[in-house]
Amino acid sequence: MKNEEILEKLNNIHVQEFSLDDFSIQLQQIKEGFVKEDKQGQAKQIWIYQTIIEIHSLYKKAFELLQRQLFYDAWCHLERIEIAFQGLKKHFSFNKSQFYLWQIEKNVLNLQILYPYKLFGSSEILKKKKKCSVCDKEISIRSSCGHIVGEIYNGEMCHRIVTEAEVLGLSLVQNPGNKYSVMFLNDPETGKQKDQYSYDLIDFLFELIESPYELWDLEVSQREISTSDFINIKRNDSCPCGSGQKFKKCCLNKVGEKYPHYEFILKKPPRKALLNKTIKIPTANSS
Amino acid sequence: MQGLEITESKETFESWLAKGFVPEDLKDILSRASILIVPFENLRETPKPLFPIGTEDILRYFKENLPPGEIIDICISDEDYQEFAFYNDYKRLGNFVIKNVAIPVFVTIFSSYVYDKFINNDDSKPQIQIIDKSTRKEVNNHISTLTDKKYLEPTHITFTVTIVDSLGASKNIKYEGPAKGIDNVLQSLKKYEK
Repeated sequence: MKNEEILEKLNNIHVQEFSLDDFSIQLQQIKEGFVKEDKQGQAKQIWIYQTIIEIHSLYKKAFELLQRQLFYDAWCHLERIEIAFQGLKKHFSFNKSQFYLWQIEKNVLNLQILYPYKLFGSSEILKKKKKCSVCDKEISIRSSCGHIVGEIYNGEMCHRIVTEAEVLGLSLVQNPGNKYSVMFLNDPETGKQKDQYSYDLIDFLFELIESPYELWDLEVSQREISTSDFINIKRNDSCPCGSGQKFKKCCLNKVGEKYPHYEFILKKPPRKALLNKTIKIPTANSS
Repeated sequence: MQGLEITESKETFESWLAKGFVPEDLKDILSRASILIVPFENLRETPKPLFPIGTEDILRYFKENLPPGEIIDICISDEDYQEFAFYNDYKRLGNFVIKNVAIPVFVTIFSSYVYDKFINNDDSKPQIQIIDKSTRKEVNNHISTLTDKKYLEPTHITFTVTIVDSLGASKNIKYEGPAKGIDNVLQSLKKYEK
């Protein structure tokens, strides 16, 4: 497969149906050939192509998981996409029209905004020994093996492998290093983990879009909670935000607070005539 | 400036070299450095001195970019080097002790490291603008604040720099805040330049 053919396929990755796995396997074989001949530049180029395919593959999977309402699994895929972008951008700058990458990055961010998660577990680890993924040498702080983390050698990204570690602690944070460790509650009746979050915003979006490559965007505006938002709600009614509290002890006290209002911008008419419906989150804290 | 603290300090190169974890044969080597990366002590009750994850990368970056004659080193033996990784909130860049003559070179390299590593990456991401619905104008509020989701914030960093002058007097500069504030922070170092 020539470079032009690879590029053509990548350029049509969002419009043509073909197996991304097979495409990546083909590229792997080409890359191995380059590595054997010590053509580091070409091997790195193939790594870039494979990372683009990986991003698409993760994105399609995340979309499918969201359609099936497997929200946490989809969240983890979105996080993996973000990490893949970080690695890719060190070696490849893309514009808005290349390989649908910009749209994926924007969609991932838009979806992360819509997720209800705010609190995460964060591990505190003492790393006693580590080695290089390229040469397998133990890392010494003064005499480095010369391989730089994040660089591409033999068509693979260099990283460190921790060989001896100790957990120092766990903490709860709002801005974790990685966002996999979402905090879920335990169901006292079953003793099992339960998902206490509301995914209304994402559900609403996925009633409107059908395919991962459908163009959509999110418009965020700032609004203020006002008494006119609750015309038919009485003080002792359940709060409409779904907190389970009485209205007088919940959103009534939040009048004047700012909150985000989301509107979905679609390029094609949705299946259902839902465009005039919007969802309002009464406060940032209760969403 | 928010997040910036400047205090008097008793730390010097000599006080760090006198620490029990610095072996005798290393003291002479470290005394030649004009920039020293120093560890956190008693972190989470760990008996050994520790460095934040990423120290290896910062040390390499400085070594690659320092002009001839300027030396950076790390205040620990190879055998005792250990890192901690707190995967939360701020990117911990570490603690530095520098001679005041090395301020210009430290400022240049440290600033470019923060740009290369964090700011350029943040800037390359799609941005979310918040609009006022009635005026259609952009609102000066970040999406992370409006949604109360800190993980949407641009990268925040934390580090300390202790500047030691030729008479052995020291100032400690601590910063915790957005990576984009780096230029203003480093400007505050420049007034101790001699």
